Amino acid sequence: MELARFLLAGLALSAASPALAATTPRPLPGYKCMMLDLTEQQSMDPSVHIQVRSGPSAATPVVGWASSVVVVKQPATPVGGYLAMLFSNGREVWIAANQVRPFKSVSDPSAQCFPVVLPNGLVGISSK
Amino acid sequence: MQNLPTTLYRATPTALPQQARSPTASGIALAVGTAALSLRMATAAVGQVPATLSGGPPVQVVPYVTEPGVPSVTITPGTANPFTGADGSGGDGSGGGSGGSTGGNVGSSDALSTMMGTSWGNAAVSNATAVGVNPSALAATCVLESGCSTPSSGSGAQGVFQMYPAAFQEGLQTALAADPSLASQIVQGSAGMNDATTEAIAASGYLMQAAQTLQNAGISDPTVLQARGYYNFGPANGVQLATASSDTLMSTAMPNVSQATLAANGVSPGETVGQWQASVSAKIGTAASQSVLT
Repeated sequence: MELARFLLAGLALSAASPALAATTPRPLPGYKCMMLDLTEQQSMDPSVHIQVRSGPSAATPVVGWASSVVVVKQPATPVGGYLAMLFSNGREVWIAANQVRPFKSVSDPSAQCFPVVLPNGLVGISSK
Repeated sequence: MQNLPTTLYRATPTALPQQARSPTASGIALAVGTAALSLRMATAAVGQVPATLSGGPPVQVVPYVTEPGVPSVTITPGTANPFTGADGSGGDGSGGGSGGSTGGNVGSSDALSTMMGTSWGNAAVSNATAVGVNPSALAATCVLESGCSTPSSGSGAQGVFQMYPAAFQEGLQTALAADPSLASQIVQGSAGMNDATTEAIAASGYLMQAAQTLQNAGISDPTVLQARGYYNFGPANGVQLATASSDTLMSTAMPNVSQATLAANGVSPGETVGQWQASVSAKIGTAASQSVLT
């Protein structure tokens, strides 16, 4: 609910300040970047889809596929083996904890990742 | 990297052994010697090849004897992206609901002109439209992958759309689910990857899958530029590239991808998502901002 208000506030700001909204992602407190626990080949394989669910259980519906970086709710404490995360559309979904690992870019270990709310209202990431 | 054979199995329901179809009087003695084997082969082939279905899925030959090293490509019409419209119609909360970035236009482009200049361009435009994909989106893909000309072989990616077997198969499934009548134009097996018309159908299907996945992620009307990452780097990386701020490093958006692979795809160390998008846009012009879907 708080997140919904946060995102709505962002949309309102976007509408009020188009110029600002067009260029400026905003930090998303309470979340951190993790990454899918995949090999390079798996991460580029069209047939590999890491499922996210509507609840912390394999019995709950699959609602989408995770992207390569996962925006996980802090503290990252598994519930029934699942972590709460934000889907890019802002919805809270769940991903199996054993399918993610701490963020560390293979090609650039010093690269940083921060969850943000993009100008278009989507949940995304930034390096700054 | 995989090396694929250029020809595999074609659907030829009438391809029965000649001696089994029209034995001559002078050949009877010899035919008798092989009759049992020939009859068995013919029966097996007929058993594997069902009658062509009117407007239905393609006839696909199941290899009688498998060939070592040949990948299996099985076309299963009717399998579509399971998340099509999932959040929009069936979800209990579509989150942001802002619709994200939008394309909002479909039309001509330099890329489309390039594709139309090929012998298979007209068919590709017609088939993309039948699938529900903007022909300019398809054209932009072939421009980026090969300049819409047949590339030299040797890489794992094949044909003018440079598809790998997994993407080719996923694309065909999606395209045939959208329009089963396209089956009549498809060259069966892995040979289809080097047939431009067949691969254009698969690429259209894969672009549709990309757009549907991006829609499920909150982007209501994905553009060609937004779908490019999905086509180039796969679903997980593709969605991330479409939902990263422009200042995000490519190495951050695709954390599992090595520097060598990034370099092989023209991505420099320190390159940002915004810079990569600009380089893509420069190659395809106005098609970049067009919608993937019609």
